[in-house]
Amino acid sequence: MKIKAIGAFLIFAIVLASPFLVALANGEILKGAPQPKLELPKNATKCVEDTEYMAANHMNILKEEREQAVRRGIRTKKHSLKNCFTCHTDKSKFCDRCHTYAGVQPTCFAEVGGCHYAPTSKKQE
Amino acid sequence: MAEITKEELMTSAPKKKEPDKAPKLTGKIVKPKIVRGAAGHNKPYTAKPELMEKLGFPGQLVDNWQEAAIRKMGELLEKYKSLQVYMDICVRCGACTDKCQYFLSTKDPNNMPVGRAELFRKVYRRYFTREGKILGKIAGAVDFDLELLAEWYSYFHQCSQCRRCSVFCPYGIDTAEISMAAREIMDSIGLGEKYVVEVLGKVHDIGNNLGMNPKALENALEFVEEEIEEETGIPVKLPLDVEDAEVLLVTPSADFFASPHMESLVGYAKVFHQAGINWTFSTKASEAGNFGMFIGNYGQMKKVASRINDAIHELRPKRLVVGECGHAWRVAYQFWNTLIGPFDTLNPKYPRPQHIVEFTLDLINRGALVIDKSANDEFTVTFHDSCNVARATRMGDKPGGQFELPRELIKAVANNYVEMDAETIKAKTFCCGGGGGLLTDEIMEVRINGAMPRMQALHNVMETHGVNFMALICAICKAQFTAVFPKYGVPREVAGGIHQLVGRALVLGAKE
Amino acid sequence: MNGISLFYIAFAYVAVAIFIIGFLARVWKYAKTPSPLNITLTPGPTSTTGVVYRMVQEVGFFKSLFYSNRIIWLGGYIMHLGLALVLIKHFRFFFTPAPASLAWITTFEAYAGFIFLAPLLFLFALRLITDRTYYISLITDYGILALLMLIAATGILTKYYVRTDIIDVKAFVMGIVSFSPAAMPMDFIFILHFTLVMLLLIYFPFSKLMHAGGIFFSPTRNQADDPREVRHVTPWAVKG
Repeated sequence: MKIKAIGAFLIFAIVLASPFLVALANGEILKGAPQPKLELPKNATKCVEDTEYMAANHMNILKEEREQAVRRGIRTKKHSLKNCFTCHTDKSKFCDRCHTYAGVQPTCFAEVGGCHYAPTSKKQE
Repeated sequence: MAEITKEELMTSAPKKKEPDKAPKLTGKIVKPKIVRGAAGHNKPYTAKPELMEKLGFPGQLVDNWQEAAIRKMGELLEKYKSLQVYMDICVRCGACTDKCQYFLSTKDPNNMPVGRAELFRKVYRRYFTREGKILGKIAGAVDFDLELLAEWYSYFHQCSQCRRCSVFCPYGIDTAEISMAAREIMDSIGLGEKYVVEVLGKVHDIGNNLGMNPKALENALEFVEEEIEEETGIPVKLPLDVEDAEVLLVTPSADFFASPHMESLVGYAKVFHQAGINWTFSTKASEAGNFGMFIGNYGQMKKVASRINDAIHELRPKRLVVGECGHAWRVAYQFWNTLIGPFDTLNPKYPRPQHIVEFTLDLINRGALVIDKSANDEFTVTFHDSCNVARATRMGDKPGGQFELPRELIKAVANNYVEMDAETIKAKTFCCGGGGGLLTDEIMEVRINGAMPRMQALHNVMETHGVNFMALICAICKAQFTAVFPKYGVPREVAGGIHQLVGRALVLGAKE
Repeated sequence: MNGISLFYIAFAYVAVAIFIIGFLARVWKYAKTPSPLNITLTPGPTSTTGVVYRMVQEVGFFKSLFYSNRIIWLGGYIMHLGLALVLIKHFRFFFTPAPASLAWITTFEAYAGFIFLAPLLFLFALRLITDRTYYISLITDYGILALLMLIAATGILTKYYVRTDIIDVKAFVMGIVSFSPAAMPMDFIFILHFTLVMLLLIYFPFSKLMHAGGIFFSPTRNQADDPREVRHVTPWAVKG
């Protein structure tokens, strides 16, 4: 009886404290969790829009671009994903850094049912 | 509710509006619109001081009743997980609101399971939770005053502890547990129900709920022996206090005395006689019922049950069988092992304890009895699942055996069997309306109302299939239905025990 | 780091502490309070495995409620489903890196908030419409629904309409989780969302929301139907 009670209590305790326990296991306590670090392109100094604007809105820009291209056949160079990859040549060193950190899956790429092959993926032409 | 005084609360006579009238039989159970306070005038007589004191309760409502009640509530919250958890986790989703027979008939929202439980919870929240202490009425926390106590007394005696609500609750909240605790608290402050307190007094003094002394019991058994011999010409014995018998049969005392209960007693006797099994009743254990459960008093329940243990030690039977009684079977099946077990002296080859239906059906299945089903051809039979049997016990090895075994037994002894509406049987069965300590005449209105859903379902099969016998396995069901049938215009004879059917169909002397 | 951030970080620690300690204290109370008798609701499972199965059906599918009232079940079940999706979605803020095993949540990402919000409105309306539930509903019952609705609505706003940078949010939350504070994103809707969630956490252990832990301790559901085979023993019941 006592053992059952303690067991039930422990299960709840572990579930509720899990974020702290994982942080502890990862050695993040007091040090902070690692922040994502992006590798910036060496051949360019400026993005197509302001950096801050891009960080907040790149998904909307790309979505808009997709709608225009697929539904209306209007393709621009400036906001195309292809254009992104002319500077950001390695998805894993740019896109993935933040996306993995925040657990947000971009739907652009073939691995998740999207249309594009990332420049770094094996099937790249 | 209007201002009330202590004296008014303790006065015995409930206010009567008009003679008790039964709802109309339409065959339908409709969900009513609520009518606030519609059943608030119902209350059973309060117990006399000397009888209360005999059970160790204060004679009448103590001066510091509020403080004492809250102290008792705190004590029960520490002792019963059910109470503590069920106080906290109700979300008032409303699933139970249309499930109680007393609500469906009285339309009083305090007779909705959650409405009833909230009478308790509002006191709990006020005195035992931070939420209630800080937020007060916003969180439904209310002072325990005399008006609320009066509501407690009324509505916690309009619950038959049948557990139907628990079936439908997403958390399994069992209002029976809450109403037991409420009654335990009321008893502890001197506000007891006359009927239950009197019955418990009789058990302690004399040994059974009806107060039959050993001589009267002996006479009753002799009378039944004579009746059987007169009818069949065969000397079937109903032994009393026989030592070292194979079976000790513990049955509700109503079986020795009341009608139609005695017909089942005849049935038991014929079964034992024909099977050639050495059996006995006990004067000490002449009552299977245990009203200690109704008032949620563990000590009383244990004390009443201990008489069974005494009988086992005195008479040394090898098996323990329990007669037709719903709440008794609950106490026997779920609680005896804890209260008076372990039953080390009984034969482990048989269930300890065993229900008489399990016992008889086993004999029939093994071919030990000769049955003439045509003896029951005048009956078209239906079966009413007793609430306690259906939702608090089992028969046989498999879950649901408590539904299947009685039906198998009926079908083994009668040709015509009809099932009532599926929504009103088995786990969803409605209480007869008289269980849980409500089987007392001053609250006849509550009892008539409580029977309504079952009566509608019965009315249906009487109309459509010509049902003229509702088989029962509970002494309270039998007493309740024979009392309320006439109010609904149904003949009393429609109610009877399963073993009444068994007794009729059993061919005596056919096999030696 | 500004004063608002510091205030909210302190507030978050207080709220989370109250929630975890309060929740566990309640659960401990439920766990240690004895069950003197076997009061399982029959027909029920006869073994521990069966009890686990029964509990899974109740917790996972609200089985009793389903057979009891389909309308309430629909509202309640979808609401809890939405809540589960929303919670799982939020795991990305508590763990670094975000658990890869939860990548599938992306599929429901867009709808989760609405799957949570719509049934809350439905349940709120249900309380008002049915006379029986109107009678039993307490002010706090409406209050909790309203609080959850506001949380859902502000959450949806931060995602679609008044966007807050997710990377900033994660940095802020991980700062709290790892005890090395980081600045709070200074977006009004996000701050409102965060405040409401903290209030919910504080209120949780003192309210009916404890059904989340309590259901596992319901004796009519968590006991096996075996009283004839196993003597049910608790210390006070055997003495008393």
